[in-house]
Amino acid sequence: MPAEQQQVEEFLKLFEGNAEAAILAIKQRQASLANARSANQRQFANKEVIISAHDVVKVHRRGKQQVEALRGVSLEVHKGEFLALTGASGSGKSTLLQLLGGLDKPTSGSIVAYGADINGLKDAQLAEFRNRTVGFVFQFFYLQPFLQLQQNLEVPGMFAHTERDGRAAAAKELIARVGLDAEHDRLPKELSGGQIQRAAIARALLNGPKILLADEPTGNLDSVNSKGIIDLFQQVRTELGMTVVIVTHNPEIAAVADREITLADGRVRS
Amino acid sequence: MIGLRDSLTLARTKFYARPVLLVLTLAVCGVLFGALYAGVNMASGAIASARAFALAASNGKYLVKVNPFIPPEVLTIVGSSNAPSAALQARLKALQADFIAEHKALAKQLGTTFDEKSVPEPLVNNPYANPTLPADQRVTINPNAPAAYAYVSELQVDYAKTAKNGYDQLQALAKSYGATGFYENTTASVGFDTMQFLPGGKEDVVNLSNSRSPAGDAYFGAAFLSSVQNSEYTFVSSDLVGGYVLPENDRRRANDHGVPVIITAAEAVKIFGTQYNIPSEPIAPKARIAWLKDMQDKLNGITYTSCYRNHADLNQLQQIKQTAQEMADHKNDANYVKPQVIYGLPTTACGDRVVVEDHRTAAVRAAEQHEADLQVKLGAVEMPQRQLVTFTVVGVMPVQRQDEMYKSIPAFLAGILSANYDEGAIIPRQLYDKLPAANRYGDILTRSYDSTKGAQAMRAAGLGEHIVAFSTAQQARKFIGEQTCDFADFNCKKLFTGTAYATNYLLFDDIQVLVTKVLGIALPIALGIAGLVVGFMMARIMIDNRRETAVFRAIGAKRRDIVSIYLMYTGMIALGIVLAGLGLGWLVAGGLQAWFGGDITAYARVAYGVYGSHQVFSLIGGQVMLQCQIAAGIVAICLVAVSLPLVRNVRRNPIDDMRDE
Repeated sequence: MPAEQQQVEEFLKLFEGNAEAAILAIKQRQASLANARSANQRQFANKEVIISAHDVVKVHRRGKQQVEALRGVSLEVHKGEFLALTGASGSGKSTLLQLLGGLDKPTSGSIVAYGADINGLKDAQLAEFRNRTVGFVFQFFYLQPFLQLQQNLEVPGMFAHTERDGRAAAAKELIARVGLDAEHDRLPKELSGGQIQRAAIARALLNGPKILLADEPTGNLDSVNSKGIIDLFQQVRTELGMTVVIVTHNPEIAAVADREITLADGRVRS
Repeated sequence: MIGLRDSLTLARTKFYARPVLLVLTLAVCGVLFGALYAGVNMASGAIASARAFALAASNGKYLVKVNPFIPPEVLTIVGSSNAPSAALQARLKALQADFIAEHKALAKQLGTTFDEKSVPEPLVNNPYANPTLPADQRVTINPNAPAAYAYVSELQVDYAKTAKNGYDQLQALAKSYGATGFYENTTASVGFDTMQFLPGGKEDVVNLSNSRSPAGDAYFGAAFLSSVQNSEYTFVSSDLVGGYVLPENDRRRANDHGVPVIITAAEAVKIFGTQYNIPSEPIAPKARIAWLKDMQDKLNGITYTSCYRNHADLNQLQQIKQTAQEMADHKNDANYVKPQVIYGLPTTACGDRVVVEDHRTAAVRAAEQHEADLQVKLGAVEMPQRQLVTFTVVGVMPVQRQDEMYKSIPAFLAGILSANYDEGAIIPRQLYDKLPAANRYGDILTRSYDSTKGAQAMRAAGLGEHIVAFSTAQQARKFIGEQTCDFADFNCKKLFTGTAYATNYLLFDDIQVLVTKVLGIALPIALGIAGLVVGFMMARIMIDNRRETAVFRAIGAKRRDIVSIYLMYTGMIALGIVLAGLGLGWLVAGGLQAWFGGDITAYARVAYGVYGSHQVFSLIGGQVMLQCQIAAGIVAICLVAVSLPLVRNVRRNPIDDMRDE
């Protein structure tokens, strides 16, 4: 079910089938969000640029075929902002997110993250960057299925060589922060989708990253859990002052973002 | 790089990824290496145990039987179709002339004459020679001529003068290899043709013959069943066979006048079984010990007798029988003239002939006796001689019959596991030497029948058989390998011939070499199979875990972290294989030890004659170093097997693997 239709149905339910009231409420909400975003955009316009992409082109090879995922994308991510990357499937938004997070290097163009050109970083340096500066959240959560929640959260700390007791305490605190303290010794299969994604967000936060990159984090959740995850992102952003970049189809997320960049056919449309 | 403990934590999760494949891998490799470990364990255990038993059997010594290699032409004249050289012919003629002159002089001195025509010619016509050749080219040497003996004797004297393989040289040479002891090894002078065992002390004079055949079957090893019956005795140092000498008992002390002898268990049953109520050898190994001990109790200190009759005496008895037959044949012949003197067969065991009728006058009798004495003095005939020899059993040796070795696998194994101190009953030398001279029967058992100057010179130079003791098998093997030829090698280019003595300790080395060779083939094959199995499994696991690897990379894992996790996992798999293999190997070896160990131990104790000890034959060899090397091989091959898929795995782009989802 498309997100917009889902939203309409939720509002219809809220106003007990009164379509006019529901539409009015939706419009009011959208106006309110637009105002807020506008205010936020103004607020972040002068903020420090932490990641900038300049004329980024990314070509994927699929067998003998070459797929141009990004065709000259330029953008800036400001410190502390909540940026939504939207667009149709195959528009290149996930690829852009992965490049911004240092998971891959652009075919051409440059990405400068925190003053360092991604192209110039060696593999180990990129890993270090992903481990300490960036926190990744995925659509399918990707927790290790045979590790308890607490151990799952500690995995990024293992790669960061964080002292065992310190990272255990940090993981415990994050579990509590995402409301899963009662589930710390559970395996992922024993948790709901929403709980797993909360845990995945907590994992992304373990090494205290400066930026959180999420690839369709609510894409695999129902509306209630999606709402909870959106709230959690906002909470993270507010309480930790963290920059959040989310790839999403979810208008709810796009609506709460400070800025929305829409990609189409590998280019920035708006 | 990720810490070891964290690597372990993450590697451990992969056990749940493909449990069936994992169990299958561990099972296949475990069985493979289990068999290998079991083989190593049992082979090394069996070899070590057999060595220990062999060492105990030979009183802590590794023995080598050594003979000087003496060219055959020095020992005897070898017949040839070619005529001897002119110089040799001249020498033989000269020796013949000397012999005749010497005997003529002796006859003259004794007041008689010497018939030189009775002396065989050293050169006789060669019937196969080309008749067109000159006369001196149509002759060959008669090896039975006194001149031929004298010539060989001369050769031996010359050889002994310059020999470099006498006892002194042997000692010097063997000591340089670490030899710790030297023993003379001599065979008793008697044999089946002159001395005969008297069952129950009775002699079968009717069937006595001057051309006897050995008792028992004629195959190799039959002596173990018939050495007493064939009077085949070997003098062996008590140092070497002391373990088989039973403790003295009252019966032994009462019968201490007999020649001490250790007989074989197999023959003891045959010749004393009925008399002393000794049953046949049981099949069950544990029962064999009880059987052997019972036999030893029953036979320790008993005596038996054998009768020695020299050929002259046997000829006399044969003549008596012929004369009796002749008289019987002419019973009704009025023209038949009976001999002047008629003798009868002995009436007592090992007794002299008896005179039945003597029609000679006193003068004739005296003249005949005088002539006979003269012939003896001239060396033309031998004086008839007979002697009852008493033996006292001081030990019973459980010798394995070598002739049955190739009849079955158990018999073969039994043949390997045995002690063997030459064929024949054994006379412990030092015990024998303690006997009073009258009880040693020295002129029968130890005299030298070859009294030529050559033989004397050879003996004086120490050119006889010796046993050399070494303290390690390696020393013995090295000495045998470097300084001796095989006994059957008539073209030997070394100074000595030699072979392992008493036990098959060198065979254990050969078996070990064989086991090492088999292991050298089996181990690489097993490692190769394990490498393929583990490599396949790891490749499968890595494919299954590509997404996880990509996620780890996304959240900050370096390539080497991924390598570390997989190496840790591989290490655990290898450890699992090692533990499974070791466990299975020890289980099999331990199981077989529990099942058969008692029987094998009992068998080995009997075979080696160490039944009084607590020595155990173990199929569990340990070989910790070798087992560790195999374990290291397993770990190494697992790491090698994983390296290719691992390199390919970490070189993958994590985005591709996440996108593939």
